Amino acid sequence: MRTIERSDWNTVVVALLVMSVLGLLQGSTPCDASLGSADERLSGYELAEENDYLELWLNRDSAEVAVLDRKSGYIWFSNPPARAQEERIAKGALKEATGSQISLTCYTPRDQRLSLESYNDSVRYGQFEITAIEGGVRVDYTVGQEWSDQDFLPIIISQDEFHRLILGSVDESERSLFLNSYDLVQLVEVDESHPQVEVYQVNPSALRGYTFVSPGSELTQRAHKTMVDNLVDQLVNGREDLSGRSDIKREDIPLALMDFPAYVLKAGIRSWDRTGMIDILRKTGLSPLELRGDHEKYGLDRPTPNPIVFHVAVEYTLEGDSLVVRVPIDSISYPTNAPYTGGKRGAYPLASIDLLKYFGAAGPSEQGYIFVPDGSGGIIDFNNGRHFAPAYQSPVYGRDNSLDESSELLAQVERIYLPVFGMKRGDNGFICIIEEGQPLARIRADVAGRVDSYNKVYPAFTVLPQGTSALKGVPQWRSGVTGGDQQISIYQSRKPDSDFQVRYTFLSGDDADYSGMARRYQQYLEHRGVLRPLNPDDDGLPFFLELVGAVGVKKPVLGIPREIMEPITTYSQAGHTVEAFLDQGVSNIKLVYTGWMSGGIKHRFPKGVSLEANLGSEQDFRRLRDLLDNRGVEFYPMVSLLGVYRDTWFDGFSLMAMGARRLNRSTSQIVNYDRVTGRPLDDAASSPYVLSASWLPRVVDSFVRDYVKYGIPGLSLKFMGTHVDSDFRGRDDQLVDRCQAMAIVESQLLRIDEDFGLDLLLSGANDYALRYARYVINAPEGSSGHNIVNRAVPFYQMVVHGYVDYAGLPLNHSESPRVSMLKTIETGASPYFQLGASSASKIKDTAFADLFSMDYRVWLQSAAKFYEAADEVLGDVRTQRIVRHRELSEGVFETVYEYGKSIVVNYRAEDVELSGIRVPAFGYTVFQGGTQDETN
Amino acid sequence: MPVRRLNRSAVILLTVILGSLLALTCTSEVGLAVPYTSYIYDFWGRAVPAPQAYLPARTVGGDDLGVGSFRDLRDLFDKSGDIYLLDSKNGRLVIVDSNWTVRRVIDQFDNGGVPDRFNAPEGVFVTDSGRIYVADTGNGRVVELDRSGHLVRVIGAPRSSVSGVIRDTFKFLPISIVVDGSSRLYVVVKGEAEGILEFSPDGEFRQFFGAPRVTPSLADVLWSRLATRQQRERLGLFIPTEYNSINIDEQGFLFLTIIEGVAAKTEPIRRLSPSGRDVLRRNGFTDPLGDPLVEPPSRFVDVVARQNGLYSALDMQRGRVFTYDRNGHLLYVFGCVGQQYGATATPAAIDCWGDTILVADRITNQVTVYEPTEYAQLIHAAIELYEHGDYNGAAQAWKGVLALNANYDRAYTGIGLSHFMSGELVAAMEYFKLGNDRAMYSKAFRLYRKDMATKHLGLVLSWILLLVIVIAACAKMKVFAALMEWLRTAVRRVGNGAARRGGVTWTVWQWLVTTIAALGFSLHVAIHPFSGFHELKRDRRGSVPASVCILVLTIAGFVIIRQHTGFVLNARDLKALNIYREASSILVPFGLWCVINWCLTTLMEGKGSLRDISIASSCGLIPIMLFSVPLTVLSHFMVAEEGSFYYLLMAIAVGWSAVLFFVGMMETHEYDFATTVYTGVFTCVGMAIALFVGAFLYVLVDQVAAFAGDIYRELVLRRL
Repeated sequence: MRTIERSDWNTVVVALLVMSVLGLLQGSTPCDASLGSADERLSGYELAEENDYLELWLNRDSAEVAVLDRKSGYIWFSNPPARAQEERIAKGALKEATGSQISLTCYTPRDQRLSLESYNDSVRYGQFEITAIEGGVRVDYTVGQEWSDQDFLPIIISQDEFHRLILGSVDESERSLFLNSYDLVQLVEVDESHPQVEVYQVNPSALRGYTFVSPGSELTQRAHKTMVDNLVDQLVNGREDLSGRSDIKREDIPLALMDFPAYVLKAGIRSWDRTGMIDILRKTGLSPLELRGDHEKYGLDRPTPNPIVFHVAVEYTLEGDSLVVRVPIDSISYPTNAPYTGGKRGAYPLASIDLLKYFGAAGPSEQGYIFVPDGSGGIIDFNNGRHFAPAYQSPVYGRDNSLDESSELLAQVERIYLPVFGMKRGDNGFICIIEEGQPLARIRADVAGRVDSYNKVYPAFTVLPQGTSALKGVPQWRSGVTGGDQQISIYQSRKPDSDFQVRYTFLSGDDADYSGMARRYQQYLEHRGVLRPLNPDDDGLPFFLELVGAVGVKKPVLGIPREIMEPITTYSQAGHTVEAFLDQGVSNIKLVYTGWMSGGIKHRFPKGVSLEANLGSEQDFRRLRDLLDNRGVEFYPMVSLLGVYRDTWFDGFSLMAMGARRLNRSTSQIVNYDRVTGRPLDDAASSPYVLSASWLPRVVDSFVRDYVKYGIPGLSLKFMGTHVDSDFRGRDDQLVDRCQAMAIVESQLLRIDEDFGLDLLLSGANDYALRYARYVINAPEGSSGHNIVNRAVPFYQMVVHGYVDYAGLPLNHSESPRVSMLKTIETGASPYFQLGASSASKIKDTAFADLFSMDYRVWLQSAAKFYEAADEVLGDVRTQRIVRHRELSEGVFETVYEYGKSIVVNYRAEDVELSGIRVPAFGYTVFQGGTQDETN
Repeated sequence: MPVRRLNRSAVILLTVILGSLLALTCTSEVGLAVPYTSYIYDFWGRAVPAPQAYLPARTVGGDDLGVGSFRDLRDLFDKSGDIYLLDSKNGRLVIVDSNWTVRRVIDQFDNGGVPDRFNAPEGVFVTDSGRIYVADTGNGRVVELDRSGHLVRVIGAPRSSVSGVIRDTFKFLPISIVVDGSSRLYVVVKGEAEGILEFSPDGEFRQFFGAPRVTPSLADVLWSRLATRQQRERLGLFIPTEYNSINIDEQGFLFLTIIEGVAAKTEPIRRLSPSGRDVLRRNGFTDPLGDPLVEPPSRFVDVVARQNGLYSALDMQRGRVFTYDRNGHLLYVFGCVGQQYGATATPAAIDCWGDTILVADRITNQVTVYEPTEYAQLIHAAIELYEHGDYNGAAQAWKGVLALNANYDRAYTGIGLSHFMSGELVAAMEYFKLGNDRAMYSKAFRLYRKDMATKHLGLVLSWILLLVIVIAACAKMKVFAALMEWLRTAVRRVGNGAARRGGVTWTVWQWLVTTIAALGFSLHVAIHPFSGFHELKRDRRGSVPASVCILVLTIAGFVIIRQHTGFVLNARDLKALNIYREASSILVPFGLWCVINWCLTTLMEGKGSLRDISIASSCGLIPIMLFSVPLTVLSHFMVAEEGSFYYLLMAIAVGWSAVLFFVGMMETHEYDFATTVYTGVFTCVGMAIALFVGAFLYVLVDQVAAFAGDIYRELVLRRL
């Protein structure tokens, strides 16, 4: 709302003055958060709610909140309390924005972006309401200046109304200000003989036969002239259609002035008096609506409210040791039919809401870091000075494939699996869990010094996802855009079906680091039943062996291009391969079998189970199952239910009906990118189609019903642990927004797990999927390494270790097998190999060339050896939690388990001496409760 | 550049994979997640995935070194373990040792008693004796300092004793320098198209050297004649290209990169011999262009020569480092543009330090240190062993590479080479085939063929002799005549039977007989064109079904040639073979020829109907049909050098076809020679026009469809 009109400048100037005065006032009081008693630091706040752990304080003037942690006495502010002095970088409106609790991003009907801040566009105008609710408070914001300042000041007001509305509700001292600023005027009809009232530039005929008096006072000639001049000026000012005194005609003279005297605002009053009066009137609760009648009576333009306002409410409640902040989706409204230029009307879609951007924000001199859940987790040190790098922002659960893909992607990025973030600030910290609306959230973080002086991390919730459609055929002369297609923006047609809710939990002392955050989050998940501790009696470390069945190869048959199924590991070879590993002493194998279904790795639509004929008969498959059963190997055939690799006829899948759609109604795909150009690949084999979540229950039904007939207790799912994609098909009722999609995926995982009683092995798992996962492979190993992020931490592993067995990427196809193996030891993961029974040259020249090192004979010995080593180190701590992880020195990391076992891993090329103990280069040392145990 | 001798043998490296995985001390990579993907170009020019060759080990910025942030980190140079970082906007040279501790910062020097500073320098070079040369671009000079940073001399703008060698408008803005073993100085100057400047050891300007010549293609010349001046300028044709960075290898040859102009797309990297000639070898599957056939093309900002003839070039378009061996084979690719660990925002310079590669970034002002993985170490070892003539050792290393990456063509060739050297030709051929090395395959095959021939010559000859004797005996005893007679009677008998049954059977029989007769006559026509075509028309001895048969067989012949021609002569991607495309590549021109020719000749008093024309034309295809199978068989016995013979035979087939077409038209339309020539020419023109109209219609329909789509989108999606 940054179109500043001329009359707004006064407001801005005064506001700045007021701000600076306030700043001076604040400067004189101790305001450093670490000094002074709680009462001093919370001056201006009042206690809104308290429980055994926390106190919630509220500032009724600024809608700021603060939370006092009773245990540590530390106070967390929603906005930095010392920003008036601390903020050195942001100026003006940007500086004031640090006082906001929410920021809105919306678009005009012409797709210009608008940013609104709860302070600048709501609190400053007093457009908010505080109400007490169960367990806390609720703040209702009306964002966007509803009435401009001058709307509050009547220009001409009848005597009665003046007394009733104004003088009646202001106190004595203010009353004189008003009386001095207004003239009481009455119009009197006189005969011809009376001297004509003459006003410079006004056509004399307009005023012929009229004169003006001021009832109750005798005016000098000069005062009378001033009064009339003033009246004429106010008439001109108050009407859009009059541009100057000369425009005034006889019928413009308000005859209503004849019946009763009225007060007319003096034109020459000083601007501070004017602002003073406006402030007083605002405080009395006067609504400009009440002035409408009078303005109409005197022919003046009626004050009209700005139609472009947004409504959002924020609820703060205390729940145990957490502060829960909620934005109810019902409270959100945006203008759907507001005027804009050219007399047209249109919607102002609300794209996103930043929530509590400055909660706990740390100033430029503070020590600590921000934790973001990028991949396995990343740490951003406060004030790291990396302003050359873009700020951190990433969508929770990765990109929604149904939103328009970026045109190019050269650099790979990790996704967010866990909707949490945190901050360590000195000896205190918080972890924030996004509890509702998380599929629509992005996590953003930035360091001090770029836009403002604060290190901050916060969620941004998408309200209406935005998509674009290119009008390709529009000639340049029509679109008016040179070079490039004209784009039209499309928004989701309704608000999402979920509130937005986050939970801040506070940490102090030794807990205030990422290990503490992981522990706290782990407790939260355990409490909710998402994580259940592993049974300590189970056997040792699992060994995940993925075997590749068939791959589809395009080959000409008699010159006709056909897809031929090339068997890599047949059903019987799979059995032999597993036996070869068993013979090498690898026990506890979990066999994942990909490409076992008809169509190979990129299998046909899984309407039911159809075995791949090139891999063997059904008899062979059953024999494999029995063999695995006898040898105690768990069997997890892999299937992709959400991603569809083919759109052929009569296979039960209709792309038009069942494929998820983007906002521009094209079908969405799980996009993969060309490795050279980074451009999206649009063929289904490279970028599978997304099955609409609304069809998932039916597909699960038909596939799993068929699958259970084979009597295999396990199943491995490809995309279901990680992918959450909307379906923007049609209008409101058909549309599946991202929150609904997540709910459907979760409910289907529940059905497969509980109703059908299958053990699930997931390829990657978001927080909600962990509940149903017995095993997770392809768990995130590191972070994206964004330049703004200082280092990666194994937060994900610290949360799930001891609850779910997991593995990272296949060791043989990782970036460097040796480093990956060390990483496995460091993060307590299980070994995982992706292999096949054929020579790897078989995949040369095929679309599966990324299986470039899959010959099991190459890896058999070293995999077995590594498993033996890993099991020795990690086998006995498999069911224990990781209590601490830290970097001891560059490239040397320590992982400490619940009962004291500690493993130090050295990634450096030279041996490292740590307090008298050597850790070999590219090796690790184990300490059992403080004593050195073994070195490798 | 310190030359590291064969550090460990490849056998040790192999233990990386096959032995204990956790007990090796070679590299020091720590970072795990890398933002870039690794790939290599295969024979077909496709990028196929590969394991990571290099991983980022760390990034180093000015703050990490404790000398304050760099501003515009322009160049870096490694000399005997010391790294010279050129911090351009701060006008200083930061020298660090191999542990990244700062040795010295040179930000000013004493110039004849007056303190002097650099102004936006862009290049640095250090000689073996420790002399530091800085291209002080902003000051338009080259500054030479000694080891401790004292000024030795300043080399200013060149002056020439001969007028006209240096233009009056010449501006001396040095951006990159090298000094060769005999202290000659080579300077790349910004905005200079005449080449690089060579200065003698005493600082005198000698000559312009190695001007990047541009040879315009014929199309370029034609176009420049037709285009307006503005168009020419926009196209950038004939804009002489300029070099932008220089490096020197162990042999004293200069490596140069070109970033602007036409040469940037065709020869972005050059290696100049002392005589100024480009001697870079370009023998790889693709030329050293970075990413070939991709828009926008790679833009090399810097190149570094490494040991064993390897060189790595830095592409600023996508932030990638491409490493080639001395023959121009791409070895591996890593890096990307981005704001992540391991990526670079705007890469500016590359240097190496043993196998470690350093890349400087102008935006993040950091140096990223990349260390080789096991995979890259194996490749290096294989090449080093090969350079030293140890083919078996190299093969061992290549086997290690293959264990990690089955897509690596070079490794197959390397193993093949070791088999070849030890005389295992079959195995060698198999590996050369997997490695798509046709030249080596051909060499191995030549020996193999010779072996086979000497081994089996007697046997083959005796078989042939036997066959000849048998045939002669049969002919003598009239076995063939009897056989033909029997066949004829049999046919007649079947014919009579069909005649008796009458109806459909009789019609089919007749049709079969005429078609086969027509086919037989077509063969006769191909051999006796003049009388044949005359009879063909006069006696109506051709038939449409027979023509269709010929067409189908020709298409089949085409497919056979494509799919089954021997490996040496068949550089086509068999997996991409598509019979529909092959068929249309014959049917469309054939159909167009017939129709257009008929249209034309009816206007020009031609006597042939459309049927006549198509029958005659189909006879014209017979030589191609006849040659296809024998040629394909023959190709399996040929080596690369005999390819010309193969192509000669093919040319004979095509020429024969052309003659048949010509004679066919002449006889069918009863034209004289000249008329036939110009109807032929006009038919070709007409075909071109028809194709053009077809394409035009296609575009039109496409646009209408797009327009309809837009209207739909606006109606459905517009939310106003």
